Amino acid sequence: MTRCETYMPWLAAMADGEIDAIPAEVRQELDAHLASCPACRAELARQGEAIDLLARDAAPPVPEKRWQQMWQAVDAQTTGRPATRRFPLVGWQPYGAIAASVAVAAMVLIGVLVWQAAGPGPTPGVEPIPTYAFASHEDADIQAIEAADDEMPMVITSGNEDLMIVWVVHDTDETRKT
Amino acid sequence: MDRPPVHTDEGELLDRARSGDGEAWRVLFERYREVAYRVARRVTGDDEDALDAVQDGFVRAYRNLGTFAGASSFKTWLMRIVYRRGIDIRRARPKARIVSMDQGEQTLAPNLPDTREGSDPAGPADRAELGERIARAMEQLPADQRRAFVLHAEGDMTYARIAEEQGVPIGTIMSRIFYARRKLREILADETEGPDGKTKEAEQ
Repeated sequence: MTRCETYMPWLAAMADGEIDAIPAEVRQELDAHLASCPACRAELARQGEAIDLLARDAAPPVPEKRWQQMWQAVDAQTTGRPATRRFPLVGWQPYGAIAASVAVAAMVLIGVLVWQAAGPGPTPGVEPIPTYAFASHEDADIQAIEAADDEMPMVITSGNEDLMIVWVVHDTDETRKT
Repeated sequence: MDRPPVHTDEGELLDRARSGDGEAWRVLFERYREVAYRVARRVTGDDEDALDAVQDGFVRAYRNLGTFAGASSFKTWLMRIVYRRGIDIRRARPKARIVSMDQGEQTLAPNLPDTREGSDPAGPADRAELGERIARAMEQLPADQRRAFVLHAEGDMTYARIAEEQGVPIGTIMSRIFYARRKLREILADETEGPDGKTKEAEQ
């Protein structure tokens, strides 16, 4: 690595005006180097050109009306969303719940008996579930969100500023999920 | 209509939002919607796609507020979600639409006019083309460089904050931003300048 290359990352901080991010001793060294190095001065200028180029494509302001429209859609899917039950309850619910509890308890009991009979060793042919899938990935938390949140409803807005209608369509078709 | 006084403490707002307080969630939405839009727009290269990414980002963030442990700031966490949505939306976009923008077709939605005066002499179609060119150039960057660059340039995040968020030394972030910017400039300059160095605009 040439001496210039060791200074280059600091040039980004200079171009951004993040001088505080450069340690004082490096700053003195960098100033001295820039005074004597036309190549690094040109590199610094190019960093500034890139900043200017992106500034030409500044985001246009979003009209407040459009933000309000978005808020209504966000609200309808978050805090404004009526409490929903994932599994609809039906008239025989008290008996159904009791029956379901008994069934679950029976399955657990059978599972324990089978496990005791088979012994504690690994089950042949069953691969352990990998726990490291996202561990080393920098976007692990975001991927987990993506994975857990695959049921984004479709939102349709209609109307005008006096009467805004927001339709939130939930996909309840379990057969489409893989 | 006067609204009740806004509590600006973010932790309190988040607690209230978690318990279903729509007003607290609205304050957070209004606080970060603009910066989220800029971040999303830089990766999608399209105004409407960026708005979609912001909307999806806020919905996803809310649904996962329970998993947000507060190790980073809420803004940092939200920006990552919106950034990710922007990338996914761009990837899912039909290629034909990107090609049509190359041909100068105006694809901006009519409800998103450029209201600045005198700041956009090229017009929305040319601006959309520039945004698309930048987004396409951005796709050629290594993922680490691209994210550091976008979060800094559009997310108003300092090097120190990005370093904390990505769990690397601040010098690494400087390096990523430096090389991202150098590469972007090279790509865009190559596109703009013809083989003899003249700009395409000058040749037309």
